Order: sequence, then structure tokens, then C-alpha cells
Amino acid sequence: MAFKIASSPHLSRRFQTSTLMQRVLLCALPGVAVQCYFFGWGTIIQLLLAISVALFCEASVLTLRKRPVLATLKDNSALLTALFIGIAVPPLAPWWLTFLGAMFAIIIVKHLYGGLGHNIFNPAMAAYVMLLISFPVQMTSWVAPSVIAGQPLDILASLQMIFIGGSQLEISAYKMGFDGIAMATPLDTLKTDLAMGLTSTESLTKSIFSDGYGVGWFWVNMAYLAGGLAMIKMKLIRWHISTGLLGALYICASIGFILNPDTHAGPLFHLFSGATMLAAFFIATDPVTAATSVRGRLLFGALIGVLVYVIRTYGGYPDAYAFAILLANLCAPFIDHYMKPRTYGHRSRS
Amino acid sequence: MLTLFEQIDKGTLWRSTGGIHPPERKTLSNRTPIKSLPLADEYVVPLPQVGESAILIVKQGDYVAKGAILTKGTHFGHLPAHAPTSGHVSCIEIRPGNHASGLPVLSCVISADGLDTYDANIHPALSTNEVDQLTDKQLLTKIQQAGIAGLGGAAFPTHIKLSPASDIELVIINGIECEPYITADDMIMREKSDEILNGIAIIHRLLAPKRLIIAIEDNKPEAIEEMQHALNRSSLPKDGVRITSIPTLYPSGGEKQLIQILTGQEVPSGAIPAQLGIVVQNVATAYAINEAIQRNYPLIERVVTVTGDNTQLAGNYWIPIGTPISHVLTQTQFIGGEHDKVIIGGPMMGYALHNDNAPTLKGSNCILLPASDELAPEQKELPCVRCGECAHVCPAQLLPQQLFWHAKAQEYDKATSFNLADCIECGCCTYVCPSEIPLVEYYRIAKSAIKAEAEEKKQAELAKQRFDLRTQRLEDEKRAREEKQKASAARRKSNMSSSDKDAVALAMARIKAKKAAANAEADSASTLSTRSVADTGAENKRKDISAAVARAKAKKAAQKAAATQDDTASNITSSMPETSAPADERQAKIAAAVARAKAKKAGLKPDAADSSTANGSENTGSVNAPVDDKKARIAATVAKAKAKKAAAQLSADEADTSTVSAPVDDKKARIAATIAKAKAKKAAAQLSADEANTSSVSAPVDDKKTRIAATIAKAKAKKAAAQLSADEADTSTVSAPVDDKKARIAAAVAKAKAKKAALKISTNTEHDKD
Repeated sequence: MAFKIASSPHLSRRFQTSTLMQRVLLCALPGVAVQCYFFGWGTIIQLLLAISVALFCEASVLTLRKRPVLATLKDNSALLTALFIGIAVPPLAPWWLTFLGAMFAIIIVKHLYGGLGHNIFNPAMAAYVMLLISFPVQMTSWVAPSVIAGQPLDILASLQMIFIGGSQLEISAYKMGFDGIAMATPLDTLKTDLAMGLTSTESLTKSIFSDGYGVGWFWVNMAYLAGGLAMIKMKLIRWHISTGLLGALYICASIGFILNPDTHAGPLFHLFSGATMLAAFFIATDPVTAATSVRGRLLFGALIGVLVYVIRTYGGYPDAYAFAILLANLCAPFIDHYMKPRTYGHRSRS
Repeated sequence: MLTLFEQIDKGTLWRSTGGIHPPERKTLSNRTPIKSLPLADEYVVPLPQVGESAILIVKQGDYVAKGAILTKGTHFGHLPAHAPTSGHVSCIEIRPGNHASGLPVLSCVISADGLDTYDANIHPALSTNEVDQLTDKQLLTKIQQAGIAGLGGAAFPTHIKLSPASDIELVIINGIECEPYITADDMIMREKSDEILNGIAIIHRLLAPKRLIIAIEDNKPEAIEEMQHALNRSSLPKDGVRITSIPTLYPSGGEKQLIQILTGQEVPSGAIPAQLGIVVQNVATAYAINEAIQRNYPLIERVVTVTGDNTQLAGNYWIPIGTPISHVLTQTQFIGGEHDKVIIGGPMMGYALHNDNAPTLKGSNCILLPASDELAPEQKELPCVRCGECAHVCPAQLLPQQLFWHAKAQEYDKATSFNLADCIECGCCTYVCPSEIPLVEYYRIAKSAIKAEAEEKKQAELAKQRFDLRTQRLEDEKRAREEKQKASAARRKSNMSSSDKDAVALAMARIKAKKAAANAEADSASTLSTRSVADTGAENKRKDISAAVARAKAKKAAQKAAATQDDTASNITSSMPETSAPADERQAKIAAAVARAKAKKAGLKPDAADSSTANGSENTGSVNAPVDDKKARIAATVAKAKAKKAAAQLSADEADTSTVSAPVDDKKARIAATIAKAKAKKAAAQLSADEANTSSVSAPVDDKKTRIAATIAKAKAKKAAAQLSADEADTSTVSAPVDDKKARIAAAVAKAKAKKAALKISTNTEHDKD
């Protein structure tokens, strides 16, 4: 009797890319929920918008490239990219911003480089940087946390803001005595204040920093941290990149704070503001664009941490993850080349 | 700081890198004792060494008892094959092999007689004392004669491992069995622990290590317990021998990984553990050693795990080496079909068998019969997302992902630089790959390609060496030959008399002269001929005639040289003999005038002919009508006319003038001559150039009529010469017959020929002849 032939191993973990991406998505959900709680319906709308555009673009490009459409869509990678774009753009940013971003991420950054597994840059971050450079005004006016704004926008108002435009609404809002529904992020505020000569301590007394880290942002970061730890526990990601990133950021911030506490925010402020936890666990850990060896990943994470601190402190932009991650993406092949592990039975790396 | 041995004694374990925890599924087969299967009808013993380093000592039809030796080899690594049961050798032929390739192999087929009669050499167990009395050499010979190979899978001859060149400090007995499903070692440790310990004692005696570790994975608590009891009962020194339980992790059972876990040391790449003073032996091998030493019982059966959802009688069996897989499948109630896999070995490193005709081998520790959905379903390969899980689990600390890119792109040099050769093909990377990439398969292909490349390189290098040696040899031979020739030549010289030498020299000179003449360039030949002819002619009155002829011919030559047609050539020739034939003064003048006119005409056309025409006209002035016989003129004209005609059509020559001139006598000779001429022309028209034998032309010439013949000959000779290659203008023959009057004729003939030849060769000749 003849039998079926196959090459060993005949056993597999049965844990595929699609499952992995799906679980990462699930782990990001608490963070997304907290973000929605503080910044309103806008986040959800942007998220849905980004997802539809990304999936549509992915399907179109796959058709053009004559690749299996449904099977590839099922790997959930486009979904994940869209998620990060959706939560990175300001919640009330005009729709075309998200639209452009998602399209750019999928078509240009991902598929023009060869699709899943072949892109050099993190698609979501490249799209974010593109938007930030092209539309700085829209990209930097974040929504005031609902706790400060008092009365959050309902879903219809949010839709109106996003798809029609906010000028009318903003005017009426001003008439109602609001401070404004759009305002700078805590990091931006701190940066502006420091530039105006205030000390960090003085700046941090503002209402936006009422809980010490920037209203809302602390909890958002905590939620992403929880999701990230769950991912490490589930072995969806390895701890090296996140640890490298957070460690380097903490060390840099501590040094800066010790040297000059007046003009530098403390290390914990850095760790729990802006997109730190989101980037450390969900974005920098994108395997495609990160370094692959263990030591390489530590270094890769640390590089991002240092760059973030440098750009936050000395650069022109309030937050810096997109830039830092793209720069680190560029270095990944280089890092991998010099961080080869010593193979069993080989005395030294040569 | 503790020494390595102190740490070993403490039970310290080191971390090995990588590794995975696949589902074990060992309980499928380790809940029942080891059983035996009924005898098969026939057994197939593969004999891969026969024909290479061993010979078969049985033939078809021979009776063999169980355990009888089938092969004999001289190679120190040779392991004899044994008959797994008693019966007759039914055939010795190529049978399907038990190998991933499925390639057939020479096998000895034994049809069982069902009696299972033991060979006479197998005896009851010796006592411990008797074993102790055997020398090391006797022990090793017994182990070799029993055909014992490593039973962990690699099947390396055990007697070689037990007689290492260097000192062994540590012996590890491998009872890890880390592959999922397999429980053969587990069960043999549970049931035959005392025998195993006896075997270990023999290993211990042969290698005399400082420490001996029996390593068992902690998922086999029963085996650990049994072995511990057996160790306590055994004669082995208690302080240097211990059983170490190690955490379950695939692939801890790999030799290199086990050494790393137990000692923290790494076997250098490309080396064997003996370099570290370590030898690793499998527990089942230790059992086989004991059988061989105590009972002289060869390795003809082993414990095989038959497991998987496709068998209804999963468990461990004592299966004789050479049992057809089909027999095992039937006996264990195989319920799978052609769409199922039959895996020899475990699910991680085992290979799928092509068909069930193959026999079991010494290294076959498991026959895995999974149901179609039991192991990993076949998946389509997805793009690598560089997740790096493969690198995390790689026990060799390789970068499987980089290896994959390079192997896929067939960049084998780069794959080599990432230490592809250190891959142990354990399959961990493929197991964890979320993109379902068959990484190990890629590495296997790359490895074999690299191997083939290296082999090719080696062959090319060998071929180059062979070529260089051959060139050298040929050169040496040539030199030796030359020297020999020189020596013999010198010998000959000294032996030869001077007269002999002269004779040889003369002969050589003659040959050379001939050759030179044959090869002489046309111009020189023709020049010579014209000159000699002119000299003789000068003495004679009639030289003017020949001169006139020469002139006329020169004209013609000039015309031909200018590539003019045969017509013009024939016109001129017609005028030419007219000039020479009517030899009285007046006529001669007229002829001369005519010739001049024509010469001028001719001269108008070709530049090259200028000089020759000028000379020609000068000469005509001196024509003195030397011809006495009037009729000769007539004959001459006739001949001329014919000659012209012939010339017009003639392409070549054969002008066989001997026949022409032979019949010439008296008056009638003219008629005959004309006839002959006509014929000669015709013949010449078809014949090839070489026969223009001018010597024969001149030979028959006599008296007055010679002129006629001469003119005839001339005409013909011209034609012949026209195509004649220069060599034939044999001036020596031309000048030879010259005597008295006739010399002129001959001269004229020669001239004519020379002209013709000149035409073909170059204009220089024309200048020369005038």
C-alpha cells in the first residue's frame, strides 16, 4: 500500500498569523474603550472609518495583484493597521484625514513594498507621519477630555464634526461657554508652557494635568499596558521590545529630571502620557518592521525610547512615537545584521 | 566555584536554548506491557554494505537459524547483518528501503519456517564473573559481531563509540525520549531495567568514565523509579553513577542539547562529543549490549512503539529487524488508507514512508499511524511576518527566518554564513511558525544543494589535478622520447661510413631539389624558361620568328591580363602564327607590321601590357623569314587557324603533344599534324592542365616540318599554359632538347607557355620574358 508523503515535522502548533492578529486586536480593546470614554464617540467613528477604508483598499490591491482576496483579508493585518490609525488620529479630525491615512498605509506603505511581511515601515505610523506633516493643524488639535469639557459631544454631533465640519459647532460651543472642544494634548501643553518659561511644576498645575499625568491619558495608558501584559502572557509578543523601549525612556527621563527638574517632566509622566504604552506594546512590536533577534529587539526598543525622549524634549513635535518608530524601522535590518546570536557550538560571533 | 563534576553530583542542570512543548500523547502507547507479534511469513534484511565493504555469506536456498550471521566485512566499522528468524533464504534482491527517499536497497529475504530456531552461537546468560573475565577486546568484538548500532535513531556502530581515541570522563545514558508519542525507551526502562544496568556496567567498564549520568525526562516517573531501583541493585559504583531527571522539553533528547543541559558545555560545531570527553549512549543500546555479551544474542529485534489513532492496538512491541511494515500494520489493526501517513519515528523528526513493503530497521523506534486530522492539517504557506518565534525556539540558536529567506532565494553561500550546517532539523521552527512555512524542508533542500555543490567542487578539483598530472606526464614522455631519438641518431651517425653519408646527403638533396622545383613560384619558373630559350635562339637565324611569335603572344597575354575576352585573344593568336609562318622577308615584314598594329591595339587597353607590346614591335622588325619550305606556311596557317578556334573554347590543356608530333614526317606530315592538332585541341579542351608535357613536344621534331609541329605545339602549349599552374613549366625539360635550329621552336614553345603562366600569375613575368 502506498501512503501520503510529507516532510517532518508532522506536528504544528496550529497558531496562525490570523489568530495572532485577532488576539492582538482583542488585547487592544480595553485601551480603545478607555479612549472612547474620555474622548467621546469620535474615536469609534474614526476607527470604523479607518477599518472600512483599509479593508476596501486591501481588497482592491489584492485583486489588482491577483492574490487571494478573502484568504488574505482573513489574516487581520489590515484590520490591525486600521485600528492603530483610527485611534491615533484626533477623534474629531475631518473624515478625509482618516481616509487618506488608511489608504496611504495600505496601498503605499504596505502593498507597494510587497504586502504583508515585506513592508519596511510600520504602515500605521508611516501614515500618521504623512498626515502630521501634511496637515499639522488638524492633526494636533486633540479633543478635550470629556471630564474637562463637561458635556461630551453625542454621536450625532461627532458625526457632524467629522463629516461636515466643526466651525459651526465650535462657535456655538464657545457661545455656550466652553473652553473649546478642541485643545492641545497634555504633552503639547507642557511643551508650550516650558517654551513660555514656566517650570514643569507650574505647568503641571493646569487643569489638564489634574491627575498628574494629563486627564484621561493616564488611564488610556494603563489600559494599553494591561493589554500589553496580557499579550506577553499569551506569548503574542515577546517582552524584549516593550521592555527596551520603556526602560530606555524611563532612564532618559530620569536623567533629564535629575539634571534639571524645572524644565523636564518626570519619568513616570513620560511613561504614562501620550501614546507610550500603545506604542510600546502594540506598535513597536509589529514583527514585520522590528528587529528579530532577542538582543536586536532590546536594542530596537531602546532606540525608540531614546528617540522619543529626545524628540519630546528637544524636538518640534509634542509626541514622537511615529517618528521614533519609523527611524527605528530603518535601523532594524542593520541591528539584525550585527546582533546575530552565537550559534550552538560556535565559540564567538565571526 | 564548584567543579563540573561537583555540579553534576549535585544534579545541577543548565539551561538549553529554545525548545518547545508539543502535546506528548505518550499515554496512547505506554499503558500496556511490551508485547510480541506473531511471526511474519518473510523477513527482509537490508544489506546496504554488501558490495561496498562487505560480502554476503549465504546464498539463495540456504537455511539460516535465528541470529545467524549473513554478512562478513573487513571494514572496522562493519556491522554484520543477522537472520531475524530461522528459515530459508528465498531470494537476494533489490527491495524497497525504509528511508525517506523510498529508494530500493539490496536485501536478503528470509522465508520463515515458523520454528524460530536459535543459532548455535546463542547461549544461556553468562554469570557476572564470566563476563568479568572477558577482555575489553573480546567485549568489543562481541558487540561488533552482534551488529549493535545506536538505537536512538542515528544507528551509529556502537563498538566504535565504545573504543574512542581520547579519554572519556563522562558517559551519558540517554533515556530522554523527548519526541511526542514514542514510548519505546520508557517501556524498556520499566521492564528491563536490570538488563539495561548490566549493559551500562559493560559500557562503564569499557570507557572507565569519572561520571556516568542516566538522564531521563521527568514525564517518565515510572521509568525513573525502576531505573533507580535497578541502579541500587547493580554493581555500578554508587558515587560516580547517578540518575538525573530533567524537565520535559523537546528536543532535550538530542545529543548536543542533552550535553548542554547536563554539563553546560557545547559540542563544537562539526565535532563529536568525544572531543569534550563525553560519550552518549541510548538506554536501548545498553540493553542490546547486555544481550550481546551475556547471551551472544545479536541485535535482531528491538522495541518499537506502534501508535497513533489509526491503529487499534497502540503499544510497544518486540519487533524483529526486517519485519515488513505491512505485517506490523496488519497485526496492529491499522485502520488507515492511502490518504494517511505512515511515519517512521516521531511526529517531529520522523519521515513518512512511501509504502508498507519496507522492513523495520535497527533505528526504527516508532511507527506512527496518525489519523488524517490527528496531526497538523496541511496548510498553505503564508508570507513570513518576521515574528521571530522560530529564533526563540531554535535549540541551535540559529536565525531560522534568515536561513529561510536565503534558502528560498537559493543564496546558499549566505545561508551557510548563517550556520545552516548547524541545523539539527528538530522541527521546532516549523512547529511554531504562524505562517505555516515548512522551514525544515527549505533547509533540507538547501543543505543537499550545498552538499552537491561541494561535491562538484571537489570533483572539479580532482579533475584539475588529474589533468595537470596528465599534462606533466605527457610532457615528460615527450621529452624522454626526444632524448631517445637524439641518442639513437647520434649512434647512427657514428656508425655510418662517410660514403653512406654522402649517398644519403645526395638523395636528400635530390628530394629537396624536386620539392623546391615543385613549389617554385610561377614567376621565377617562367622567367627562367624564357631566358634560356632566348639565349639559344640568339644563335640561330630563325630566332626572329620565335621573337615575332613571342611578341604576338606577349600582346595576347597583355590583353588577357586586362581581362579581355577569349575572342580578342584568338584574333591575336591568329595573326601571330601568320607572322612567323610565311618566313620570306616581305611577308615577314607585313606580318611584323600586323603584329605591331595588334600589339598596339592590345597595348591601348591594358596598362600592364604596355611594355610587352613595345618590345614585341621592336622584335618584329628583325624577323628574317627563315622558313624555306613554302608549304610549311600553309600548314602553319591551317594549324594556326585551328589553334585559334581551339583556344577560343579551350578551358584547359592536356595538350598531349606527343601524339601530335609523333606522326610528323615528310609533307603529309602537315595534314596529319593538322588533324592531330585538331584532336589535341579537343582533348585539351576537356583535360586538366598538368599533362602539358613539353619535353615530348620537342622530342620528335625533325627537319623542316618541325616548324609546323612547333607552331602546333606552341598553340597548344599556350593554351595549356593558360591554365597551367606555374610549377609545370619545367624549364629544365624545356631547355634540354634544344639543339641547332629546332631550339628556336622549342624556345618559342617555352615562351608561349611562360606567357600563359605569366598571365595567371602576375604582370612581372611579362616584363621578365621580354
